[in-house]
Amino acid sequence: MRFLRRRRKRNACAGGLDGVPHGLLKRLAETGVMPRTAQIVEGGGLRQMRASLPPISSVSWSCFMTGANPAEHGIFGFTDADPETYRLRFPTFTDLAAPTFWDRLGERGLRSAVINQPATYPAREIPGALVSGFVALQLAKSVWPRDHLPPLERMGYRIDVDSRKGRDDPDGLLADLESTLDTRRKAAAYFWDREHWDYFQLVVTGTDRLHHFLWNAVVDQHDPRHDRTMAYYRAVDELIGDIWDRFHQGRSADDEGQGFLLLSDHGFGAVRRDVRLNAWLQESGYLHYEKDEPESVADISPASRAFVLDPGRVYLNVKGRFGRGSVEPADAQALRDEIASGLGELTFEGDKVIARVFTREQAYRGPKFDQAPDLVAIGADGFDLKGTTKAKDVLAETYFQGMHTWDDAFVWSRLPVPDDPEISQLAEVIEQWLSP
Amino acid sequence: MREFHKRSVVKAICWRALATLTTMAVVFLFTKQLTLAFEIGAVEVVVKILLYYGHERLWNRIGWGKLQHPLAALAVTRELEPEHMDEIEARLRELGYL
Repeated sequence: MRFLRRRRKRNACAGGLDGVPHGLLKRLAETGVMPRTAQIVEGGGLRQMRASLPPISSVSWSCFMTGANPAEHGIFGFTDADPETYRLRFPTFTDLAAPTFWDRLGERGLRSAVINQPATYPAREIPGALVSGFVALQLAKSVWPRDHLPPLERMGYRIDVDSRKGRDDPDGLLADLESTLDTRRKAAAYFWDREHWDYFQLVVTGTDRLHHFLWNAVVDQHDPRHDRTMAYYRAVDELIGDIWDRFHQGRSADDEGQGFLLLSDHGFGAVRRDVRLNAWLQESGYLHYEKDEPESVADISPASRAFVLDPGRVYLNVKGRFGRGSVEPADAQALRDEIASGLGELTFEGDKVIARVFTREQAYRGPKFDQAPDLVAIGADGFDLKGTTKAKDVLAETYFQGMHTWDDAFVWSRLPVPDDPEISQLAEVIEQWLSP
Repeated sequence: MREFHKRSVVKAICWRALATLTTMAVVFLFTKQLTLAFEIGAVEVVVKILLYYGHERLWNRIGWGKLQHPLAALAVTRELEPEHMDEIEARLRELGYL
């Protein structure tokens, strides 16, 4: 019987902080901005973690929720190009080709309550309850089961902030961040009590939005908005503390922290310049367009030998793989090496622009390997890679203040997380804990 | 709709109080022995309250015959409409991903 089973079964709880780097979390904990988080991590277990390749939320969170490589779950970025027409499409939760660990837990009779999980729109049935996060459009399609929708509507639940405010109305963005976090808190309390869960997860995505638009205010204490950004982090800390307290109600001191995780899906750093890799490919003679003002890679000419999709995914325009392919398969390896080498030589004011270039063999493994990009470039500190086709200059200033980073996400857990962890390894850790 | 454990517990206690008092009254009517009526009631109240709770929780897992929220079974698994794709593109641009 369930009531007997629940007593002896373990449960787990994860708090996701989208786009919070290891170094920043450590600093905020040590300087008293996040005292509850400091208490949690003080006994050890806080580690730097590698995000997905590329380090963007849709891929990284898909790796987290499936425990799989992108070539297994099939989400390689926010965009994919149709191999025949090159038209961009936006993979959604329906494209996820691997089961989530919530599905696998469900096969063992365990239920999950998952709130604001990016890359799960439109919401589908999971064993438990799901509220989709970014890029969710309508709340009505973001909630499973649907009978949770009216309570969420009544509490004024917000899927996301209005990111347009980030550029022109930073104070409005901060107000949005605060009110959205408040609805996350209400939703967490609601699902905590209403759902019979074995695994509970809440993701805060406001941290990522804050960093995109107000990174300087977060890291510079002389910035006029610094105090308000710290107040936001204090509110995030209170939410973490609240969930920690709820999780530990009725537990013995020996069990403290067991089954509890904190993590981020990628890191963040300051932006110096945007790097438009398609402009570099064009400048270097690898990419040609059929129009003077191309809208997307759908406008590339058959003479093109390579193109880039956001943020740093390089695809060789190989015959047989793409409709207007121009590169003979036998020549692909040499072309790939040439482009990787050229990317490595890009500099700005004497600094290298590209930190690393991964080949698909280094980055991907799985049945969808053939759909993977040929190269994945990672920008050096301060260089934010873009896949736009609308820019002529390779390097340009941007109004964004923060950019994603790959190797400084974080995880905190007392569970046996592998050394030098990578985000896709956490699912197995949670599953092992819940169903040893 | 599923029930919380505490609701099942409260229902079990209410029903047990009513049913056990009935059992004790019937035993007393047939035997005129007040002690026996209390003894049978004391055993029954413990055994049957546990059985009732288990029975409730078991039935709670069976969906048959329950009235559900009319939208509860509607899964959204279809592809999004083209205009929604445009909206997703706009959101991604707002955050500088495209």
